[in-house]
Amino acid sequence: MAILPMLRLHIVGHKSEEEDVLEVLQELGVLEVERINLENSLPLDFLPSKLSDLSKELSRIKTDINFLKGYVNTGGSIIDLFVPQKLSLSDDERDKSIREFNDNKGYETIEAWQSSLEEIKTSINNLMQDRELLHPFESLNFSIRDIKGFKLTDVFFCQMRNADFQKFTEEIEALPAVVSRVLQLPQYTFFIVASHREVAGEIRGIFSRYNVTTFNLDKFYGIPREELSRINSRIEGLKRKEEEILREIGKNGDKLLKSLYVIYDIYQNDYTRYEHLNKVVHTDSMFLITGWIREKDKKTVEETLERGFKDLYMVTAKPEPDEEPPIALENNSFVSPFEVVTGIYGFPNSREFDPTPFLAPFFVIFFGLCLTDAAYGVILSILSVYLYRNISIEKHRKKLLQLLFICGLFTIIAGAITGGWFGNISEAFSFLSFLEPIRKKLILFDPLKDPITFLVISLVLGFIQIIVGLFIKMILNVKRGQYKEAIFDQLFWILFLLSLVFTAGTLILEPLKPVSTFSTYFTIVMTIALIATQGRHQKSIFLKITSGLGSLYSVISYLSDVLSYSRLLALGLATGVIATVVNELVKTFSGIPVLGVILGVVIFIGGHIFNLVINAFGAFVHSSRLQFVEFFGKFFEGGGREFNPLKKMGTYTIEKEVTE
Amino acid sequence: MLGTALAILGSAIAVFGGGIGSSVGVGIVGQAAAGLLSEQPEKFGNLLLLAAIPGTQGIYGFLAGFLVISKLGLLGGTPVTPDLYQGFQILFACLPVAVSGLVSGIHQGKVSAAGVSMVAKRAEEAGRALILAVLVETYAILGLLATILLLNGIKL
Repeated sequence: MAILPMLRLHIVGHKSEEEDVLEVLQELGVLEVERINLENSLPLDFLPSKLSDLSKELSRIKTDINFLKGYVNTGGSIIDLFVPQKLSLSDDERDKSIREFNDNKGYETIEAWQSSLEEIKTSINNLMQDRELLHPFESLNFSIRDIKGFKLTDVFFCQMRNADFQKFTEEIEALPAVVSRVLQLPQYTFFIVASHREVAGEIRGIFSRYNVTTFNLDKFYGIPREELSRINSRIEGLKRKEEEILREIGKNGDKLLKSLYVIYDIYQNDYTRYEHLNKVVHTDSMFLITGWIREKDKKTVEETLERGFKDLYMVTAKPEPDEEPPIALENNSFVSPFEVVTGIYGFPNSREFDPTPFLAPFFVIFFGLCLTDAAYGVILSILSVYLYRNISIEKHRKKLLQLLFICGLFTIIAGAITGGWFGNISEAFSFLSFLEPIRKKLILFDPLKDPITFLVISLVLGFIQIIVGLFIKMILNVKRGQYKEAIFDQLFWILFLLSLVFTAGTLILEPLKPVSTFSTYFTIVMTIALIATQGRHQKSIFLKITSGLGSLYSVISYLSDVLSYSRLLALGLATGVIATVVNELVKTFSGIPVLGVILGVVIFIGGHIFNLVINAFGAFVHSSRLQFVEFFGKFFEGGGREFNPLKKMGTYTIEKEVTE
Repeated sequence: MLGTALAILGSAIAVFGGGIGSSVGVGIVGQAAAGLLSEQPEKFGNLLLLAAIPGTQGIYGFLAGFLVISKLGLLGGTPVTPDLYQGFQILFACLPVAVSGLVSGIHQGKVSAAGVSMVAKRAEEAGRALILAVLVETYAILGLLATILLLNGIKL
């Protein structure tokens, strides 16, 4: 439970074994390597080029992956949009996948696909340009080659704006030349000009004056219509070829993509490992690796390394008082999902408690009260179990789902005692009214009719959590030997707050009346005790008393902390009311003949999903906030760094879990 | 009948006050998020949560509005007619959620948009960005709570 004790580990050995040692350590995944700066440490000459080779290889594989991803149907679901899933593979499957990839010349295949697809694309583009060019002259019924290469005549294929065509024709035909219109579009005219070569200069002058565009059709020979159909059939042929390649990619790309994923992750792990070499100290022939391990891993690390290497020298040591070891948390299976919540805020430092076990019970209760709908709780639990079983990501990232499962269970309880089942489903729909007695039996109070009870429950829970927070701080101070702080700053406050609330209780609750005098006196005593001790850091007696009195003002901040828990009521009501609105809408719409039932079902499902998502999200963040601001504020220092050992990780793949 | 009209006015103010706050707020985050998504589409999941946060004020406003509607019995059943004073009471009871929702929605949008740029640089900080945005929401919730308690106290 709580923060695991850490040990510092030094490993000294011969340089020749260094890479293998790191590889073994990466396989174990238990050592966080720390960088040490020693002046006479020698840099490794081969390292920069090795790293740049690896990163080049990585980016090449990445390009191939992105290429294949564009054409292979990976069967992605809506979950991938939020959490990209990873392939779960065992070591054997990995080896097999790589072997197949190499046997089939994977890289060559992919690159061949890539280049032929590109080639086809360029060819099609070129052909399409040709088609554009030739298209206006489609109606000519002679071969283009027949009007080229005359001795004394130039032939031009031209285009110009319609407006000036008449004038232009007159000017041209004044020379020894003819104009023949081929095609007239709303704005442009396409035409051919044939002229004697001796007036070539004048012709060009006229062309530029009238903004005439001339086309070079030298690459065409035959009759335009035939040329066009040839182009079209070539385009079609290329497209067929493209489709064929795409079909092939669709058929075989899937496997290659998987292999690429495996290979990418291997290279990535290599890259991380070699990067770690930068943190290691080297002499001419020796290396020194320094870092942190969990105390419980000590035996495994030592045994594994001793078995694999003969000439290693290992030393472990407890952290020095001024050292800040990284933080690894370990909790039982009920509490450990709540590390997600702690992780959002930040890790504890090595001199305090892991707050996770303390926040866990409050968090689930708050979550349940915020959602207060038993049916939603059922859905949430089932959904998280389903996703937990079916989503393929690293195990530690699934903790959130475990957390939601537990929260779902508490929501069922909270929903049952407040009578929320899809809002007021059994009340709203007459065909479900047979369930109404069961619902009524489970209800302890109805938040809509009796919000004050709910409010009191929320505030009492808040008060308890704040007292618990102060209590933890007290224990912490005792552990550190700061007894004065523990008694004056926490114990006195706890007693004062408790007696204050108890005294207020005696005024309202009849059975407590007899002790009211006692509790009033006790409160007064505690008040005086606080005034006497809270100003103890001040020098003069006058300042001691005024700052003691001033400290009583903190009551206001405790009060506002407690009031902050009233959000539980507001969020709890919100779920119920929105669910009721959805049911009302369903009732209204289902009155429509024929379509009504379908509409009703659609609104029911859509509306309740919306409500569940919005409110589960709200319940999560607000329950977290109450931990972070109101609870952690009382005792938590934080500032710890998460333990991040050198280990194997995958961007695309994860280790297959061994099912026993 | 004037009482009913005033009560409906209260309900309307609650709904559109929260609605304006949320739509402006979500608008601000949405723009920031869309900008980031064009570069890093894999962060959609994180950004969706940030963009959704300022949406709650609109829901709170709607919730208060609905409470008034059901209090007046306008959804079927026998409608209750509040007198002039009760109408004013309901109208005033709606103001906390309307005004706090309007203002906090806009500001929550700004905090969330800042959170988006936080996520842009470090995706693992998404949780903290969310918590910062939620700090603003407290006041919308307190507004809603005040409205609910006030409405609950008005006897028709």
